[in-house]
Amino acid sequence: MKRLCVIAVGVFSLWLGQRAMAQARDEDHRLDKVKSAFILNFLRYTRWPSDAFAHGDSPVVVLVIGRPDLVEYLEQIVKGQSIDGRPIEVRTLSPASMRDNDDHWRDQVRAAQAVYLPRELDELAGRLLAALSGANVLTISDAPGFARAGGMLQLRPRQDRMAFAANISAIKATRLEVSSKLLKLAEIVHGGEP
Amino acid sequence: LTQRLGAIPFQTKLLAALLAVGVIPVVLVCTLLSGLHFFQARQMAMESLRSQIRVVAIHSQAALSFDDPEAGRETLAALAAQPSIRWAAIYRRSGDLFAVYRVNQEPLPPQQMAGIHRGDDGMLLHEPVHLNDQNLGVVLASYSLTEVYSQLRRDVGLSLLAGAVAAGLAVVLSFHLRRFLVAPLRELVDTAHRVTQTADYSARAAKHTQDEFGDLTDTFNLMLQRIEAQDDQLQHRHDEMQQFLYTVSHDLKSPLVTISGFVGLMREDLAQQQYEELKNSMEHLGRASQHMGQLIDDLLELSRIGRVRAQPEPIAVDALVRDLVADLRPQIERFGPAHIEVEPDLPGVIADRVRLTQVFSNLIINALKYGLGERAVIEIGARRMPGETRFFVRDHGRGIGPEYRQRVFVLFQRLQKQGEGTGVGLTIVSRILQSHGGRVWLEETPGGGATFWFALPDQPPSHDHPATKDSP
Repeated sequence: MKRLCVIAVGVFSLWLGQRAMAQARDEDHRLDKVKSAFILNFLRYTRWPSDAFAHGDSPVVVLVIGRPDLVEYLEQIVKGQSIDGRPIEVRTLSPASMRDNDDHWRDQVRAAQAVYLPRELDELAGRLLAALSGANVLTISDAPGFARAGGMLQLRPRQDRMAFAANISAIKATRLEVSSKLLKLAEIVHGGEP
Repeated sequence: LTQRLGAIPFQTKLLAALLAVGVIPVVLVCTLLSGLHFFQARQMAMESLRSQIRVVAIHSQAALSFDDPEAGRETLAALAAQPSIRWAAIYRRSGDLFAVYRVNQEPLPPQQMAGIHRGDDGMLLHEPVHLNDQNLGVVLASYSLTEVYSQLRRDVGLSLLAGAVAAGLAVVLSFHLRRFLVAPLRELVDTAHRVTQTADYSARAAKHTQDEFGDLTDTFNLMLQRIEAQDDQLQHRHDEMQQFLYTVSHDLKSPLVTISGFVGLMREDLAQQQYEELKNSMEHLGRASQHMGQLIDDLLELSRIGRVRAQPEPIAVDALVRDLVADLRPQIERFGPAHIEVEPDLPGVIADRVRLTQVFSNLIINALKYGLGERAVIEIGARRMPGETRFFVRDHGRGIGPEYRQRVFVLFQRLQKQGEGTGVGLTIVSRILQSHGGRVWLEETPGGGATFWFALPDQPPSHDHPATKDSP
């Protein structure tokens, strides 16, 4: 009888743990969706200088580092969407390539219009920002301290909603125009390389 | 309608006219201005509301994009500056309520946009929120133009007040105008009624103003005065006529009585064949019929003065009198040793020659008949006075007592019953002078006797307005 009870409790605990894991997974999926929507909206409120594009009909390129699952969501959301007549293209960059010392990945990120760095790869933030110094590329991340470190937009999930921070001096160092409507909603952060 | 309007008293019409003139433009202008004001205010309020909602919609873009209801509420809170907005809400594209703003006690908008029936009161503004071509949601605002309507109510109230004030002024003015317009008219109408009912032409309308009404009143009074004068004159003539008929019949009758008396006597004399008496009676008969003839001649002459008029002409009175005295020589001698003294250079006058001769002739014969006393002298002279020339014929006889000095000019009035006078001569004189606009009167000669004066005006009256008050 005692064993039976222990087994029951064990099974119940296991079931609880599994359920909690499933819930956490669902929550992560939901957050990814919201983050994708925010990334798209960030693009909508941003204007690039015309020389940031190779051609008049070049797409707006969003480069996502790692996180192929997020890329999936993002691709779903931007499908059929356009910004100032330009289609939106989602590209990925493997974090492994960034650890190489060749400059190929640098050209890749500098050729994009926006770069998203997930929080799981926040150790790459310093390298990324250094590579993008002076480039007209919108830098987005949900890594804590990203904006303070010199990133432009940082997603900050709150309990009830998604908030975000903006580093205005980082934006002003480039020729990007981020709408004041967007900045009005953002928590303003200072810091990083000008 | 015209008849019914015509029956309304003048004062009411005046009041109505003043009210119409005073109130209608005021009310019209006020209504027009209020209406204009209202539409303008409403237009402006609507414009202002629409633009504000449009601004809110633009500012809601980011809030909707980044799902930030707090930012949406902040944006909506700017509408607090618009008191006419009862509530405003941002709905998501899905129709869910995103953010809301409301004035204190106003009800909350529904959670779903589908629950709102547009056009319930029409007081709903609808502004979609777009980002580029993407529809993000919609801003709805329910408003009430209470400000505008209360302003309209105030304007209408003021219009009514202005109309009432105008009406009051019109009434006050009409009461004041009544003194100048209605009262004089009323006075005229009342006087006319009084005169018509009582035939009392001595009534006069009081004059209140110096305008046309005053003029009318004057003219009306003058008319009454004329009527009164004519009425008096008519009465006077009627009395005169009665008197005349009485006198004529009486005076004509007395020679007839004499004649018929003597005819009776003669019949007796004939029967008794007393021819001497007959002859005596026939002489009486002849004298009586002669007297009657004279009487009738004189009456004819008297009536002719009124009927027949000759044009007045300049007359050298000096020559006229001297010729007349020469012509009267036989009669003067018949009445006894009389001397007629004529002043030299008698002034000339403008008169009817025949009638003026008649005046002098009658007065001289009158003096010869009754005025020859111890001094058998008749003086004729003249005095120039301002505006007229006076002549006199003076005797030194027994004179005429003051109580008879008027009566001598009345028809058939004689101071002596005997004698051949008919009592018409001095009446003729008086009548002639009347027809010339002159007059005759009698004074006592100093030292005894009668002096007949007559005056002729320098300007004889025109024939169109005869001063003669002809009586038969």
